[in-house]
Amino acid sequence: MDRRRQIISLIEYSSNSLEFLLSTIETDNDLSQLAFESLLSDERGFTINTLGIQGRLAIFKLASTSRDLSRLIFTRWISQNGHELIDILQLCELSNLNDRSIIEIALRYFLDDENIRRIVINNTKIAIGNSK
Amino acid sequence: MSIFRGGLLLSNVSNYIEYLFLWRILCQLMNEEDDDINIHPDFHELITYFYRLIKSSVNQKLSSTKEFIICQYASILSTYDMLDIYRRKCIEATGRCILVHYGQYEKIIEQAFYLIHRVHSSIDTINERYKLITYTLNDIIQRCQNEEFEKLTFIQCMTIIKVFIEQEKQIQLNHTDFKQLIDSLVRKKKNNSN
Repeated sequence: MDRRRQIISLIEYSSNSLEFLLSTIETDNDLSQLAFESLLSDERGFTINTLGIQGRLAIFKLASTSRDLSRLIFTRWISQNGHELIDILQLCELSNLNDRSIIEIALRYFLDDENIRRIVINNTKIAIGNSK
Repeated sequence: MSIFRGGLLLSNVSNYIEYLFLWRILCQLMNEEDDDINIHPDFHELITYFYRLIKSSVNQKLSSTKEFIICQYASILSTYDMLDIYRRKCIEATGRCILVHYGQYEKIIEQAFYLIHRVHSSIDTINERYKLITYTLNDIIQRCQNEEFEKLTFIQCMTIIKVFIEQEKQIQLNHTDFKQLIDSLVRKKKNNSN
Protein backbone atom coordinates (compact mmCIF):
# COMPACT_ATOMS: atom_id res chain seq x y z
CA MET A 1 0.00 0.00 0.00
CA ASP A 2 1.44 3.37 -0.91
CA ARG A 3 1.97 6.14 1.56
CA ARG A 4 -1.05 8.14 0.49
CA ARG A 5 -3.47 5.31 1.08
CA GLN A 6 -1.86 4.56 4.41
CA ILE A 7 -2.40 8.11 5.55
CA ILE A 8 -5.98 8.17 4.39
CA SER A 9 -6.85 4.86 5.98
CA LEU A 10 -5.39 6.09 9.24
CA ILE A 11 -7.42 9.26 9.03
CA GLU A 12 -10.57 7.26 8.53
CA TYR A 13 -10.33 5.56 11.90
CA SER A 14 -9.49 8.66 13.86
CA SER A 15 -12.16 10.49 15.81
CA ASN A 16 -10.59 13.80 14.81
CA SER A 17 -10.61 12.83 11.17
CA LEU A 18 -13.00 15.55 10.03
CA GLU A 19 -10.61 18.35 10.85
CA PHE A 20 -7.70 16.40 9.52
CA LEU A 21 -9.43 15.67 6.23
CA LEU A 22 -10.46 19.27 5.83
CA SER A 23 -6.97 20.56 6.42
CA THR A 24 -5.65 17.95 4.00
CA ILE A 25 -8.10 19.16 1.37
CA GLU A 26 -6.94 22.71 1.90
CA THR A 27 -3.22 22.31 2.23
CA ASP A 28 -2.04 19.14 0.56
CA ASN A 29 -2.29 19.17 -3.19
CA ASP A 30 -1.30 15.56 -3.62
CA LEU A 31 -3.80 14.19 -1.16
CA SER A 32 -6.66 16.65 -1.48
CA GLN A 33 -8.57 14.67 -4.08
CA LEU A 34 -8.29 11.52 -2.01
CA ALA A 35 -9.34 13.32 1.17
CA PHE A 36 -12.24 14.87 -0.71
CA GLU A 37 -13.52 11.49 -1.86
CA SER A 38 -13.03 10.02 1.56
CA LEU A 39 -14.94 12.84 3.14
CA LEU A 40 -17.90 12.29 0.86
CA SER A 41 -17.97 8.52 1.01
CA ASP A 42 -21.04 7.00 2.62
CA GLU A 43 -19.17 5.15 5.34
CA ARG A 44 -17.83 8.40 6.74
CA GLY A 45 -21.30 9.60 7.56
CA PHE A 46 -20.56 13.31 7.23
CA THR A 47 -23.48 15.35 6.05
CA ILE A 48 -23.59 18.93 4.85
CA ASN A 49 -24.79 19.90 8.32
CA THR A 50 -22.09 18.14 10.29
CA LEU A 51 -19.34 19.57 8.13
CA GLY A 52 -19.86 23.08 9.47
CA ILE A 53 -19.32 26.33 7.61
CA GLN A 54 -15.55 25.93 7.35
CA GLY A 55 -15.89 22.39 6.12
CA ARG A 56 -18.39 23.33 3.47
CA LEU A 57 -16.20 26.15 2.29
CA ALA A 58 -13.14 23.91 2.06
CA ILE A 59 -15.12 21.48 -0.05
CA PHE A 60 -16.42 24.21 -2.33
CA LYS A 61 -12.91 25.51 -2.75
CA LEU A 62 -11.74 22.25 -4.17
CA ALA A 63 -14.95 21.66 -6.12
CA SER A 64 -14.62 25.01 -7.86
CA THR A 65 -11.54 23.68 -9.63
CA SER A 66 -13.44 20.96 -11.41
CA ARG A 67 -16.75 20.51 -13.19
CA ASP A 68 -17.05 16.90 -12.09
CA LEU A 69 -16.36 17.57 -8.43
CA SER A 70 -18.88 20.41 -8.42
CA ARG A 71 -21.59 18.20 -9.81
CA LEU A 72 -20.63 15.45 -7.44
CA ILE A 73 -21.03 17.50 -4.28
CA PHE A 74 -24.28 19.21 -5.23
CA THR A 75 -25.84 15.99 -6.43
CA ARG A 76 -24.70 14.20 -3.31
CA TRP A 77 -25.90 16.84 -0.88
CA ILE A 78 -29.23 17.18 -2.60
CA SER A 79 -29.87 13.45 -2.60
CA GLN A 80 -28.34 12.78 0.81
CA ASN A 81 -30.86 14.50 3.08
CA GLY A 82 -33.43 15.64 0.57
CA HIS A 83 -31.99 19.18 0.73
CA GLU A 84 -33.11 21.62 -1.89
CA LEU A 85 -30.36 23.58 -3.59
CA ILE A 86 -31.59 26.70 -1.86
CA ASP A 87 -31.09 25.08 1.55
CA ILE A 88 -27.51 24.25 0.68
CA LEU A 89 -26.88 27.84 -0.36
CA GLN A 90 -28.37 29.08 2.88
CA LEU A 91 -26.03 26.89 4.88
CA CYS A 92 -23.16 28.59 3.06
CA GLU A 93 -24.09 31.93 4.66
CA LEU A 94 -23.65 33.72 1.39
CA SER A 95 -24.13 37.23 2.66
CA ASN A 96 -21.29 37.00 5.15
CA LEU A 97 -18.86 35.04 3.14
CA ASN A 98 -15.94 36.71 1.46
CA ASP A 99 -15.27 33.64 -0.63
CA ARG A 100 -18.71 33.40 -2.16
CA SER A 101 -17.26 33.60 -5.66
CA ILE A 102 -15.88 30.12 -5.00
CA ILE A 103 -19.39 28.83 -4.35
CA GLU A 104 -20.58 30.65 -7.42
CA ILE A 105 -18.09 28.88 -9.67
CA ALA A 106 -19.10 25.50 -8.31
CA LEU A 107 -22.76 26.37 -8.68
CA ARG A 108 -22.25 27.47 -12.27
CA TYR A 109 -20.68 24.11 -13.07
CA PHE A 110 -23.66 22.37 -11.54
CA LEU A 111 -26.23 24.52 -13.33
CA ASP A 112 -24.51 24.15 -16.67
CA ASP A 113 -26.68 21.12 -17.32
CA GLU A 114 -29.92 22.20 -18.94
CA ASN A 115 -31.99 19.49 -17.28
CA ILE A 116 -30.72 20.43 -13.86
CA ARG A 117 -31.51 24.05 -14.58
CA ARG A 118 -35.08 23.25 -15.51
CA ILE A 119 -35.57 21.39 -12.27
CA VAL A 120 -34.08 24.25 -10.26
CA ILE A 121 -36.23 26.88 -11.99
CA ASN A 122 -39.30 24.76 -11.44
CA ASN A 123 -38.52 24.31 -7.74
CA THR A 124 -37.91 28.03 -7.38
CA LYS A 125 -41.31 28.78 -8.91
CA ILE A 126 -43.02 26.35 -6.58
CA ALA A 127 -41.22 27.68 -3.50
CA ILE A 128 -42.11 31.28 -4.27
CA GLY A 129 -45.68 30.31 -5.09
CA ASN A 130 -46.05 28.51 -1.78
CA SER A 131 -44.70 31.33 0.32
CA LYS A 132 -47.45 33.74 -0.69
CA MET B 1 -43.17 38.75 -19.42
CA SER B 2 -43.28 37.58 -15.88
CA ILE B 3 -43.20 33.98 -14.83
CA PHE B 4 -44.28 34.83 -11.30
CA ARG B 5 -47.49 36.71 -10.85
CA GLY B 6 -46.80 39.61 -8.52
CA GLY B 7 -43.13 39.73 -9.34
CA LEU B 8 -40.01 37.87 -8.58
CA LEU B 9 -38.54 37.29 -5.17
CA LEU B 10 -40.80 39.05 -2.76
CA SER B 11 -38.82 40.21 0.19
CA ASN B 12 -40.94 38.14 2.58
CA VAL B 13 -39.79 34.91 0.96
CA SER B 14 -37.54 33.04 3.35
CA ASN B 15 -34.09 32.37 1.91
CA TYR B 16 -34.46 35.59 -0.02
CA ILE B 17 -30.73 36.17 -0.41
CA GLU B 18 -30.15 32.67 -1.65
CA TYR B 19 -32.92 32.93 -4.21
CA LEU B 20 -31.46 36.18 -5.45
CA PHE B 21 -28.03 34.65 -5.72
CA LEU B 22 -29.38 31.65 -7.57
CA TRP B 23 -31.50 33.81 -9.79
CA ARG B 24 -28.56 35.90 -10.87
CA ILE B 25 -26.55 32.87 -11.90
CA LEU B 26 -29.52 31.39 -13.77
CA CYS B 27 -30.05 34.67 -15.63
CA GLN B 28 -26.40 34.85 -16.58
CA LEU B 29 -26.25 31.24 -17.75
CA MET B 30 -29.37 31.72 -19.85
CA ASN B 31 -27.96 34.89 -21.27
CA GLU B 32 -24.70 33.27 -22.26
CA GLU B 33 -26.48 30.54 -24.13
CA ASP B 34 -29.00 32.83 -25.77
CA ASP B 35 -31.63 30.31 -24.80
CA ASP B 36 -35.19 30.56 -26.09
CA ILE B 37 -36.67 30.08 -22.66
CA ASN B 38 -37.57 33.36 -21.07
CA ILE B 39 -36.75 33.06 -17.40
CA HIS B 40 -36.37 36.75 -16.83
CA PRO B 41 -38.15 38.04 -13.78
CA ASP B 42 -40.59 40.88 -13.76
CA PHE B 43 -38.29 43.75 -14.45
CA HIS B 44 -40.42 46.48 -12.92
CA GLU B 45 -40.77 44.60 -9.69
CA LEU B 46 -37.07 43.98 -9.61
CA ILE B 47 -36.05 47.54 -10.23
CA THR B 48 -38.65 48.94 -7.84
CA TYR B 49 -37.30 46.88 -5.03
CA PHE B 50 -33.77 47.77 -6.00
CA TYR B 51 -34.57 51.46 -5.83
CA ARG B 52 -36.27 51.16 -2.48
CA LEU B 53 -33.24 49.40 -1.16
CA ILE B 54 -30.76 51.91 -2.51
CA LYS B 55 -32.87 54.81 -1.32
CA SER B 56 -33.17 53.42 2.18
CA SER B 57 -29.44 52.93 2.40
CA VAL B 58 -28.23 56.36 1.34
CA ASN B 59 -28.02 57.61 4.90
CA GLN B 60 -26.95 54.51 6.70
CA LYS B 61 -23.99 52.23 6.84
CA LEU B 62 -24.86 49.05 5.02
CA SER B 63 -24.85 45.68 6.68
CA SER B 64 -22.95 43.04 4.77
CA THR B 65 -26.28 41.41 3.96
CA LYS B 66 -27.68 44.53 2.34
CA GLU B 67 -24.44 45.11 0.56
CA PHE B 68 -24.63 41.63 -0.83
CA ILE B 69 -28.24 42.10 -1.95
CA ILE B 70 -27.33 45.28 -3.79
CA CYS B 71 -24.46 43.53 -5.53
CA GLN B 72 -26.80 40.77 -6.62
CA TYR B 73 -29.31 43.23 -7.97
CA ALA B 74 -26.73 45.22 -9.87
CA SER B 75 -25.47 42.00 -11.29
CA ILE B 76 -28.90 40.78 -12.38
CA LEU B 77 -29.57 44.12 -14.02
CA SER B 78 -26.36 43.83 -15.94
CA THR B 79 -27.51 40.65 -17.65
CA TYR B 80 -30.52 42.20 -19.26
CA ASP B 81 -30.81 42.81 -22.92
CA MET B 82 -32.63 46.00 -22.20
CA LEU B 83 -34.88 48.43 -23.94
CA ASP B 84 -33.53 51.96 -23.87
CA ILE B 85 -35.46 53.04 -20.82
CA TYR B 86 -34.15 50.04 -18.93
CA ARG B 87 -30.58 50.74 -19.85
CA ARG B 88 -30.98 54.26 -18.59
CA LYS B 89 -32.44 53.07 -15.36
CA CYS B 90 -29.61 50.64 -14.94
CA ILE B 91 -26.96 53.28 -15.46
CA GLU B 92 -28.69 55.41 -12.89
CA ALA B 93 -28.97 52.54 -10.49
CA THR B 94 -25.30 51.77 -10.86
CA GLY B 95 -24.43 55.37 -10.19
CA ARG B 96 -26.42 55.22 -7.01
CA CYS B 97 -24.66 52.05 -6.04
CA ILE B 98 -21.34 53.78 -6.33
CA LEU B 99 -22.71 56.65 -4.30
CA VAL B 100 -23.78 54.34 -1.55
CA HIS B 101 -20.53 52.49 -1.61
CA TYR B 102 -18.30 55.49 -1.73
CA GLY B 103 -15.23 54.26 0.08
CA GLN B 104 -15.98 50.54 -0.09
CA TYR B 105 -16.69 50.24 -3.75
CA GLU B 106 -14.69 47.36 -5.13
CA LYS B 107 -17.52 44.90 -5.72
CA ILE B 108 -19.79 47.51 -7.19
CA ILE B 109 -17.13 48.68 -9.59
CA GLU B 110 -16.79 45.14 -10.80
CA GLN B 111 -20.51 45.10 -11.55
CA ALA B 112 -20.48 48.56 -13.05
CA PHE B 113 -17.73 47.54 -15.37
CA TYR B 114 -19.67 44.48 -16.42
CA LEU B 115 -22.76 46.58 -17.02
CA ILE B 116 -21.00 49.20 -19.10
CA HIS B 117 -19.27 46.50 -21.07
CA ARG B 118 -22.65 45.07 -21.94
CA VAL B 119 -24.08 48.40 -22.93
CA HIS B 120 -21.23 48.65 -25.43
CA SER B 121 -21.46 45.07 -26.54
CA SER B 122 -22.18 45.59 -30.23
CA ILE B 123 -19.96 47.58 -32.59
CA ASP B 124 -22.91 48.37 -34.87
CA THR B 125 -24.89 50.22 -32.26
CA ILE B 126 -22.04 51.74 -30.28
CA ASN B 127 -22.55 55.31 -31.43
CA GLU B 128 -26.25 55.20 -30.83
CA ARG B 129 -25.65 53.75 -27.39
CA TYR B 130 -23.00 56.28 -26.59
CA LYS B 131 -25.40 59.11 -27.39
CA LEU B 132 -28.05 57.54 -25.24
CA ILE B 133 -25.71 57.16 -22.30
CA THR B 134 -24.37 60.69 -22.59
CA TYR B 135 -27.88 62.05 -22.78
CA THR B 136 -28.92 60.04 -19.75
CA LEU B 137 -25.94 61.08 -17.69
CA ASN B 138 -26.42 64.74 -18.47
CA ASP B 139 -30.04 64.42 -17.56
CA ILE B 140 -29.20 62.84 -14.22
CA ILE B 141 -26.50 65.40 -13.45
CA GLN B 142 -28.93 68.25 -14.15
CA ARG B 143 -31.57 66.81 -11.93
CA CYS B 144 -29.01 66.30 -9.20
CA GLN B 145 -28.02 69.93 -9.26
CA ASN B 146 -31.52 70.73 -8.10
CA GLU B 147 -31.35 68.34 -5.20
CA GLU B 148 -29.17 69.89 -2.56
CA PHE B 149 -28.95 66.74 -0.49
CA GLU B 150 -26.94 64.52 -2.77
CA LYS B 151 -25.49 67.19 -4.97
CA LEU B 152 -21.74 66.78 -4.85
CA THR B 153 -21.16 63.10 -4.41
CA PHE B 154 -23.74 61.92 -6.85
CA ILE B 155 -22.58 64.30 -9.55
CA GLN B 156 -19.10 63.06 -9.05
CA CYS B 157 -20.17 59.46 -9.34
CA MET B 158 -21.94 60.14 -12.57
CA THR B 159 -18.98 62.09 -13.83
CA ILE B 160 -16.74 59.16 -13.11
CA ILE B 161 -18.93 56.91 -15.19
CA LYS B 162 -19.11 59.47 -17.92
CA VAL B 163 -15.35 59.84 -18.07
CA PHE B 164 -15.03 56.13 -18.19
CA ILE B 165 -17.48 55.74 -21.04
CA GLU B 166 -15.77 58.49 -23.01
CA GLN B 167 -12.42 56.84 -22.58
CA GLU B 168 -13.73 53.45 -23.43
CA LYS B 169 -14.86 54.75 -26.76
CA GLN B 170 -11.27 55.23 -27.78
CA ILE B 171 -9.30 52.57 -25.98
CA GLN B 172 -10.07 49.19 -24.55
CA LEU B 173 -9.84 49.60 -20.81
CA ASN B 174 -9.69 46.59 -18.61
CA HIS B 175 -10.96 46.20 -15.10
CA THR B 176 -7.70 47.36 -13.51
CA ASP B 177 -7.65 50.54 -15.54
CA PHE B 178 -11.17 51.35 -14.49
CA LYS B 179 -10.33 50.75 -10.87
CA GLN B 180 -7.28 52.98 -11.12
CA LEU B 181 -9.36 55.68 -12.72
CA ILE B 182 -11.90 55.54 -9.93
CA ASP B 183 -9.12 55.47 -7.35
CA SER B 184 -7.49 58.59 -8.72
CA LEU B 185 -10.79 60.44 -8.84
CA VAL B 186 -11.63 59.45 -5.31
CA ARG B 187 -8.21 60.55 -4.09
CA LYS B 188 -8.61 63.89 -5.84
CA LYS B 189 -11.98 64.38 -4.20
CA LYS B 190 -10.56 63.57 -0.77
CA ASN B 191 -7.70 66.04 -1.23
CA ASN B 192 -10.13 68.73 -2.30
CA SER B 193 -12.32 68.29 0.72
CA ASN B 194 -9.40 68.36 3.18
